[in-house]
Formats: sequence, structure tokens, C-alpha cells
Amino acid sequence: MIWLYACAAEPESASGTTHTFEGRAWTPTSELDAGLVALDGPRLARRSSIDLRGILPTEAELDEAEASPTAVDSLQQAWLEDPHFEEELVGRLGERWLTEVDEYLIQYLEFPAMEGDTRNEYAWERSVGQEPLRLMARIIATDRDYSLVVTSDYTMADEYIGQTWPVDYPSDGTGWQEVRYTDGRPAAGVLATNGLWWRYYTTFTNYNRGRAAALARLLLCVDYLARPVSFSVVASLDDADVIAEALKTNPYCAGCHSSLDPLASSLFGFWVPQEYSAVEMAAYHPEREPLGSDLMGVESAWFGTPVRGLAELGATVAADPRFSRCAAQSAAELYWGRAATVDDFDRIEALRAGFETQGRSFRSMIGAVVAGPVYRAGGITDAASVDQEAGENTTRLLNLRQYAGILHDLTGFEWTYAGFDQLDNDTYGYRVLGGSVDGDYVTTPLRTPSLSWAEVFRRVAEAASVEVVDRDFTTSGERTLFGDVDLDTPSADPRWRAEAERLRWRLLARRPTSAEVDEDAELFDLVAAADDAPAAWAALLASWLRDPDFVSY
Amino acid sequence: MISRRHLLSLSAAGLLLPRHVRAAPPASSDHKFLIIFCAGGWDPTFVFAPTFGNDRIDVDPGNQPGSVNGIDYVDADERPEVRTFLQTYGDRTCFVNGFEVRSVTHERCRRILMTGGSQAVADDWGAIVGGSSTGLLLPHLVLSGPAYSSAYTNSVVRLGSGGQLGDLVDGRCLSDASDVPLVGLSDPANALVDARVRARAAARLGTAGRGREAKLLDDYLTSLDQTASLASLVGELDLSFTNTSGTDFLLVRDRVKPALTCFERGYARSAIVQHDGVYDTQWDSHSFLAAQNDHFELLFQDLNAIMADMDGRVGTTGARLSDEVTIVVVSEMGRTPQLNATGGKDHWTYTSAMFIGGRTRGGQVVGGYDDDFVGRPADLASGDVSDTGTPLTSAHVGATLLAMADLDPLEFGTTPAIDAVIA
Repeated sequence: MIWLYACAAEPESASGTTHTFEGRAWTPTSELDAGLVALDGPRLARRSSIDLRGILPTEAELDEAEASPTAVDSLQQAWLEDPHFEEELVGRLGERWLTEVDEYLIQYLEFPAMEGDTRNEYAWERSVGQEPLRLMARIIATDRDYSLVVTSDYTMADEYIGQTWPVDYPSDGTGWQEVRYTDGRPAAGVLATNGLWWRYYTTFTNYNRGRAAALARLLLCVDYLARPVSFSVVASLDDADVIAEALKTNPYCAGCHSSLDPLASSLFGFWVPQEYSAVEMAAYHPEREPLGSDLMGVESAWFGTPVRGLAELGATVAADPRFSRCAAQSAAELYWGRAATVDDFDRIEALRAGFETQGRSFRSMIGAVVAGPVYRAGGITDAASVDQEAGENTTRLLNLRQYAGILHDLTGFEWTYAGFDQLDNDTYGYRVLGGSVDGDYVTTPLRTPSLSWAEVFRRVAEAASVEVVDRDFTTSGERTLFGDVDLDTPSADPRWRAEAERLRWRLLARRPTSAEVDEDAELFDLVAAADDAPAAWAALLASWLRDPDFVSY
Repeated sequence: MISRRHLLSLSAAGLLLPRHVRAAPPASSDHKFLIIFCAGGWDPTFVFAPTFGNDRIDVDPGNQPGSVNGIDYVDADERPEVRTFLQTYGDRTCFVNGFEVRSVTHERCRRILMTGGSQAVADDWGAIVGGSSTGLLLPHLVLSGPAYSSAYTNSVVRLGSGGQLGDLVDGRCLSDASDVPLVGLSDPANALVDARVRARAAARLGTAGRGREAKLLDDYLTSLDQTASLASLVGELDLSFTNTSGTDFLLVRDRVKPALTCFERGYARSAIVQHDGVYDTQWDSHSFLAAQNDHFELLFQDLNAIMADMDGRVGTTGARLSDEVTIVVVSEMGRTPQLNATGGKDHWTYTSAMFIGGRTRGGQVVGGYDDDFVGRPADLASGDVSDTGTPLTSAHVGATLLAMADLDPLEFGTTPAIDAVIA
């Protein structure tokens, strides 16, 4: 959709009410909020933990959420400062920025440091795509001014990027660290990252226009490509001079190109004559910055404001009021799990206002989003509008990225093949089949179960369950999931029931009824009779990992 | 009295209908669709749009006029498969020329081509056809290529670029696609777990409140039923891709075989597969335009093989499968009429498509291009170019597909079908 922004300083909602933003407090005053039913404490804690940390809450945290209505508020605040928050942000931002593709124009083997081991392919590809995501996640998680997303003089790199791109990564370094490019590129945050521009590449003849459009969509929430295009208004589509003139003077064309082309002109430090050259694509080319005006016939500008190349572009973007509005909208959409609509204008404007008064703290803004009624909605009342009933994301579906992260935390489960994480790639694995995005053809996570999603989750649950049962019950050492039971503890044993109740609480954030535990025991006994005790425990666990209350949140 | 199953088996054995005799046209609900998406933007001047003696349109030097089975096309010695195809199947083939996609970026053109618009929330033609059908195990198969779904998501079944779904269904994924073989549950144990999960989902649905919960649970139950049905077909339905090329390159004619089998057995109604051409750049020939020769040659080689394959299969009505299936071959854009500075052609908003096989009025070309390679309006009933006709868009192509599926295109958009294409 095209999000229309008003320029008023203090917006008034159509209903005459306003939302307030005081730190993280939220006062629901709108009629639209009256149409929503909040999740109960434990399920809200579960949702919040998944969205903020990518893992389930502990039993103690669930107990806390159950005991006190306001406990989730403090839990959310704590989780915003949890070490897992930054890691989860990387994946969540990736679902919007779409940089984690399986293939770039440049391949890993073009770099000598990557040769000799095919297992480098996946790790290198993910590092490339995650560079801009890691930078944003670091800025957000450490509560820095969000403007740094487009103005920082540093980026993030790991050992794969460190060995292939011109950055000052320590030669003996491992893991993601803040680094600086050494090729003279200006300070411009993500705008200066190879990872962003390798995903959003340009051909020799398109002069960065596609990149400019991507920039506008990601940082301003302005989608040039959503606008209808009429080519019939151009007198001669095969005459380059006629087209160049039309881009400037024909209202249909100039409507986009009058701002798109000057923006594209500012990105010529990343423009290369051969986009398949690793050497060309890895480096910044400051000497090419003036080529934009030469080749495109327009001076670099940000929506009418002249910019002297990339150096000024970032600061100009940060000063654009649409930058903070888009930040607010994207924060809302990331955690609401749906697109914003015109009915959300007041909410998002309140977020934006708070964002500006709190030093552009994106982290605080996330806190406000997850404290709000839209995020916390678990159902619909009779007062709900038709649009709310159809569109409000009251029950969310785990995608494979989330499922894998939760299972890894719970059980340590990993599934790799030829160096690829099978739950995070489509070359050999199951990423889009499991409902995640691939950054190219699939650009939104799956919102409702499908056959392929169900098949993936079935096998992952099965494999993870068998593995953790084997490890917890047969390997000496600290258990990862199971508690005070043994392999041969029968279902009639009170310890068995206590363990079932505990694990259901831990995994589903719901206290089971006696009948539900009886059903668990029945499943356990049937499988034990058909196979053996380890299979029974694994089957029981797999049934919980595929329970609708587990795969939804 | 002979049973339908016996009749079909006799027919399949060639003991009843000689293969050159077509059965009566199948009932519309049995009609299926195979969409072949040529990724990157093909150049219609290589096959679909004869343009000779016009110095405003650069064409391959090997191009020569061709005409067979009522179709005027672009022939070339370098593309014998095109000639063979049209000689064999031209009477079942319709070119649609000169429709506009109204964009020139790959991402947006794909979406507009496949859904008729640029909205982020939309279903593509295959999803609509599959989702509008009932009782199908795998309504719309995504073998590869673009797939957009919203309302019909649970009708869309992705096989995975390497046929991963098949490995998931039969469990080979745990051993064959893992560095350290993973261990699963036994079949009886898995069946018990499946039943338990289904029971829980059904129970939750019974107490679901208003909002998305009920929809999500209902779709979950549908997906569980589908997985159970697929599991029962292990050993009978092979969803894997078998490479017959002798190289690492999986040909489209091999990639579509699971879909053809599903069409044959009534499991699916639509499928999409992506054709990447021969080179890494796919059909996106910004340089080295001559690559289009190789792309089209391979495409028509694949089409020849697919049609022959379908001619030899029996569909759900007892007719030849090729009579029950419409193949729709598309690409997200065309290419500029003139070469650029690097010997290639850039993006062009006007392009062509092909309808082949069942329910297609073959032996004709609908629409056309003017001397600037801009699409010309066409009469939707006759297919003739006409200044008073309708400017064709990709929405018309999609509407035509829907109409062939006996759906009313106007229930899904505002664009009518090109009746001239429909038999």
C-alpha cells in the first residue's frame, strides 16, 4: 500500500481520540482498541519472548506472568536488554530488508580465502546478507540513535567478510564485530554496506535506479513500484533521447523520476561497469561519484535537497521527517506481523512522536509497540470492525526461522548438510517450504499453515525430539530439556505426570487439564507398546512441538 | 458393465482409443494448467513476432519468416526445435502478442504478470485455479518459480528447488540430507503422533474465539490431512526430480514430471515451473542477445518433450493428458526493440505469451506489435489487431487462464478474458 503521510505536527484521529505515548505506557482510548481482547499473561509472555528474544520464556518467567497482570511489562523491558534481542533482530529485520538470499552475482569461490572448502558457501552467503542487518541490530540493541543506521562510520563483519572485503577485521578474529571499511567510503551506515548493495544490485545501464527505489521503500516506506506506470504516454519508447527527455518533462514519468534519478545519482560510488566482477563489487569507488550527473544528467539530490554524494546522503535521509515516520511504521509492522493500514495512523504517529522525544531510540519504540493493544491482542470482540476481524493478527504462526531458533535453544538441535543450515536455506534445505522468506521470490513469511510447512515442521519436530531424548536420557551430564524422570518412568508414576505438566507449561504456556495429561499418557503408552520407551518420550515431545499452541503464538 | 477404473487402464494400455484420436473435451473442472515462467524477460522477435525490414527493430541475423499450421512465426536454422514444435503442435498453439506488463523491473513485472497487479497481498493465477477447486490433495504445485498467495495459501504446495518435499514426505531427508544422519520415529509412532496432533487441533478449533485463530486452526487441520494423505502415497507417488540430462542441470521437461503425474491422477490442477534458459543470466540478455537463440531452442526442446510426454499419458477423464492440460508459457517482460551499447537489449514493457494444448484455439496469433514494437490493441473476440480494440495487458492473459478454468475472471478482477484464445 502507499502510506500517505500528513505533515501536521500533532495529528488528530478521525475518532477524535488520541493515543498517548509516555515512555512505554499506552493508554488505549480508541474505539478500535475496544475490538481487541488481550492475551493472558503467560501466552503474552510467550509471544513477547519469541518476538523479542527468539526463544521461549523460562518456567519462572511464565510463573511470574501468570501471577501478576503487569509482570509482562517488566519482562518485556528486561528482554529488550537481553543478549538474545540483538540476534533475534537480525532475523526479523531480514524479513523486511530481504538481504539474506541464497545467491549473489558474486560467488564465494571468487575470493581466494574461501576456496578449498565448499562448506564456506553457506556461511559466506549469510554473512554477506547479514552485514546491514547486523549493523542495524547492533545500533538498535545497544540503544544508540537510530540515525546511525544511515550515518555510522562503522559496519559489522565476521571472519568471512573479514577475509573477503576491505574492512579492518582482526586477522585472528572470530564472530561479528564492529569494523570500518578501509577503501575510503564515506560514513553512511547501511547505505555504505556491500551487503545491502549486493542484494539490491544495479545493471550497467540502469544507473542505480533500482537501488534508489529500494532505499525509498526501506527507509521512507515509499514504494515507487506500487505506482501505476503508463508507457503509452511516451512518444517513442525506443529512442533514448526521447526517453531521457520524458523522464524529466512528461508528468507521468517525472512523477517518479524527478526524485528517483537524483537519488540514484548519489549512489555512483557503488556503480560498476561489470557487476559480475568481485573486485569491482567489493570496493567503493569514490572517483565515480561525479558520474551520476554526467550519465544521468541530474545532480545528486534527496527529494529536492542537493547532496554531495554518499557523504551527505545519510545525514539528509536522517533529517527527513519521513525517515522517523517510516521507522515507526516499520517497528509497528515488524511486531504486529501485518501491514499498517490507515486505521493505524494515530498509533504510528504516537510512536513517531515518542521516537523523536526519546533520542530516536528504536529499542524504546519496540517497547512501546509490544506494550500496545494491537500487539497484545489475542482475540476479537463484538465491537471489532470488519477490517479488524479480517486483518488483525491475533494468532501468529511460527515460521521455520523462529521454530529453528526456539528448538535450538531448548534442545541444541541443529540440522546441517554440506555446511548449509538446512533450516535456513533453499538450495538443499527447507527455508521457504517451512514458511520463511528467501529474500527474492518469497518476501513475506507464511501466515497460515500449508502442506509443505506442515511436512517440514513434522520432520523437524520428530528429529529434534529423538535427538534430545537420546542425549538427555542416555548421555551423562546436564540435561537440556527433561527433568526428574528416567527413561523407564511409567506414565502412571506421579513424577511422569509432573514432568508432563511441567513441559507443557514450558512449551505451550498453558496449564494442562487432567484430561490433557491423560491423553499424553495414552499416547506415551501406545508408542511404548509399539516401539520402546525412548520412542515414547520422543513421540510425546514431538506431539507437543507440533501442538497448535506451540506452532502458533 | 466395464468399470471406469478398468476403462482407464485399458485406455492407458492403448487398447481402446488410438492415441491420434482425441477424446471429447474434458469437463471444465478436470482441466489443468501448467505455467512455464521464463525468468528474465525474453525477446519476442526471436519466435513470436516476425519483424522484418524495419530498421527500428534489431533482430537476430539468423531470423527468417516462417509459417506453419496457421501461425506466422520467426524461424531460424539455429532454432530447429521451434520449427519442429510448431509443425507438430502448432494447431494446438496460440501466440498472444503485444500485451503490456506496465513495469520494467523484474520483481514488479513478475508480480504483475502472475497476479494482474502490484499489490503485496494477492493470489496468482495458479493459486486461484488450485484454490478454487475442491477435493484435491495438491491443488497448485510450485515446482519452481514465482508463487504469490494470500487467500489460497493452503492450496499452494511447494516442492522445493531440489524436490525437497518428496524427501520430507518419505523421510529420506533425515538420512540423505544431513551431515550426520538424523533418526526419526517409526511409522507407527509417527502415525500416533499425527493423530494426537490432529485431535488437539480439532479440539482447539472447537473452542476458538473470534479472530485469526479459527482460520489458522482450520488451515492447520487441512495441512495435517494433506500430510496424512501424502504419507499414504509413499511408494506410489514420486515427487522427486529425476535428472535425465546427464549433467548437473535439471531440465524443465524432467522437473515437470511430478506435476504431470499429479495431473494424471487428479491430485493437482495447476503447477508452475521456472525456465532459466541456458545461461546464468537467464533470459535477461542485457548483453549477448544471441543467447536468446539457445534459450528458445532449449525451451522448445522442453516443450516438445513435455507435449510428447502428455500425449502418452491418460488424464482423469480418460482423454489424453495433453487435451486436459493447457500449458501457458510466459515471461515477465520483453526486450527493447533496439540493441544497447553492449550488444544486448534492455527491459521492455510489451511482451508475448503462448497458450498450448487443451481448451486452446490453436493455429493462430492474437494481438500484435506496431513498427515501434509497441503492443497494438486487439479485439478480444476475434484476436485481430484493431485500432478500436482493447490494449492487452498481463491481466488479460491471466483472465483468459481463469476463463479456461471455468472461473469468472470478473470475480477476481476487472479484466475480461481474451475469448479468441479459448476453444
